[in-house]
Amino acid sequence: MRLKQDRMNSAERAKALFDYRKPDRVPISMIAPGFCCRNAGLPITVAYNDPQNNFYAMYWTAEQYGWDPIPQIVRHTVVETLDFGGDVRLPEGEYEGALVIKSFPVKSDSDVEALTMPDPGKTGMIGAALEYGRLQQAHGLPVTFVSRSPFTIASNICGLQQFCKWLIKKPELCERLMKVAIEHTFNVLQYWTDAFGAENIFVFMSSPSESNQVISPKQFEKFALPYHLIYHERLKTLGIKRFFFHVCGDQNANLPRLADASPWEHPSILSFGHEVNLEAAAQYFPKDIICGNIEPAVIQTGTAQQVYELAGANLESGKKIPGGFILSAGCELPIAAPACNVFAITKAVDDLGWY
Amino acid sequence: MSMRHDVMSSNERIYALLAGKPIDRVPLFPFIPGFCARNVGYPIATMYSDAEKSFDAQLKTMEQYGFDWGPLYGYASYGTWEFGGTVKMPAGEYEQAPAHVTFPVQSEADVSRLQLPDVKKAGCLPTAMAFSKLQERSGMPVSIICGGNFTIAGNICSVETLCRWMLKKPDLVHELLRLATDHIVDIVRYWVETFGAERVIPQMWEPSAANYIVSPKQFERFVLPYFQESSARILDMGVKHILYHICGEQNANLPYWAQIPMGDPGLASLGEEIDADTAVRYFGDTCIIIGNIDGKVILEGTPESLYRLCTDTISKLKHAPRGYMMCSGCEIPPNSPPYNVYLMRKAINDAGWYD
Repeated sequence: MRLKQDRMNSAERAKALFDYRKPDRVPISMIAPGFCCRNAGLPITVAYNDPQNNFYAMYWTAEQYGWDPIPQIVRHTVVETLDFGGDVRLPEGEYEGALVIKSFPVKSDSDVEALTMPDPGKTGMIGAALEYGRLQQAHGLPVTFVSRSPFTIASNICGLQQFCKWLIKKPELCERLMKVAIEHTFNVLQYWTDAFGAENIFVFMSSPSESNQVISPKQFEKFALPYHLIYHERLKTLGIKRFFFHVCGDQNANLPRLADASPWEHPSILSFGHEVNLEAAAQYFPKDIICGNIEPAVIQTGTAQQVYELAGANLESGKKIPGGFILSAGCELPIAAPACNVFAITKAVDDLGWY
Repeated sequence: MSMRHDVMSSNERIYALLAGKPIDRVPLFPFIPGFCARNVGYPIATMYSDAEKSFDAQLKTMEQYGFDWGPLYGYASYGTWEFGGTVKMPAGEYEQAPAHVTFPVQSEADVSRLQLPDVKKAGCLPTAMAFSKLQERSGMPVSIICGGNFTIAGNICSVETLCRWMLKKPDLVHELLRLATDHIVDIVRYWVETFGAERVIPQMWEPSAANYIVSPKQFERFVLPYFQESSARILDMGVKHILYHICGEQNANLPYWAQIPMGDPGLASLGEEIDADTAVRYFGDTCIIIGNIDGKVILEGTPESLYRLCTDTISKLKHAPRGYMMCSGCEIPPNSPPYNVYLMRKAINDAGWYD
């Protein structure tokens, strides 16, 4: 607790990053809706069905560990399986950390054609996410809009296994699903801009289904990348400038193609899984802020000393990144991560993260 | 990172308080082993079976939340194992400390067969000694925690039996209390011989004398004389301070507790059942007051209610004549939300400074 005193607040730190200036210290950002609930003594379900308590759990936890909400990364706004008529249940028991899909909306070829566009005003958990956004705005935070990449949304409409099969055998069905996915995302985002104003929105996207643990770089280039281009054209049309992209999992083989395109506004925040070398990421994306990438498994099952050392190694690489650096876990912070291990990250920044 | 910077180190603060010198802020006293295990990801049993891990887990947790004083080893069922019975280490979701399995005394005849334990070998004492050597090396106060005399007697024959015998066979109770008293003195002597009287601050936890169990008349007859004797013998060894954890509802016993010598200053740790004015009335002139945030609020209260309780308690006790250390009224429940534990320190940050 004998931590050095910050010389900037989170908003000033974020502004410095987006102005390509060095902040006082490396900011810490976490994808942690479930962990925050546990940390505040609330059930994980609160992250998905109770915006008010979820907001405060995240707000308080960020204060406790010195995290910077640049932006505050919250539960998903677009819960694609649910939005399109699938069945999703809340997490249960000791180990489940997020929503669990019970059945996908698309089970057969014919279901793809039969899909109808959800009404953002009446669908799934969008209302709860909207309420969360109002709390963010009321507290002077950017309003986070959270969705996945069109490729990932599409795979969550029919199931990843089915989607991968169709990539090879019926690619037209995948294309159709991705078009539906991007339409739905922007329908909801329009709803968000109407409610909050484009200038106040921070768009977060993650793309786990595009990882090379699932698809090849050729498939990435052929199927996933074009929709990133469309996505950012439309984002620019809406006037949204702030973008956080969690490039989830092992996407090393996708990075050259993603870097050639890099269709987003610069700087954006690009967050990487622990499988990606931070220095390599910085070379691919020199105009962006790099975020990452302590291995979540170590945060959950390692010792505090191991987490501290891993965070220290990240800081050593990250502080040299010219476009700016945010320390984070490589993916969502595990819900059962020991608090001491999470604090070890804060301690590492306090010891090694000052500029 | 948003807290005001301490002016003193934890050791400086504690030793200044014991010496009656000014300190920078109210110290946060730890009563927290089970929570530390959860906080670092250990089973709770580790805190009682492995001195090194227990010390390390506590040290890390105390650093994280800003506790003062230092790690402590002990548990309320002390005495059962040491006098020849058996205890089991905590297991499962809800057990938080070692529990009795078989009592060394099961019949009246067993009492006369009891012998004083070898303090170098009995029960948990080798682990406690290993733990104290770690305390010594760290420069923190060296503690030995045993039950109070009455609690040890209850842990030898069971509290139910002890209560029955207080009415029907008081001689047996006195026999047990004699053994408990001599045993306490033996342990403290062993600690003093090992570490020096200056370094040793014994802790006596006395839950079984609460008025849920005994009347004030029984306290006067069975508890007070033995406490007065063991305290006097311990202080005669050159020990400067004794901590008494006056556990639970003991309001009716307080006039007697005030007659027990605890050193200069003594250390009176109080449950939430005792209000601040009463605490100051009985102990303010002789003791540093420690306490007494309700553990239920730490476990289940809202952050707002806990914060208010802490700041109110600080404002009432901060200027106690011999000083005040904020602490839970009994052990912090292991499942307490980490944010709530953080809030205790935050309350000190906001209300506990002496300038």
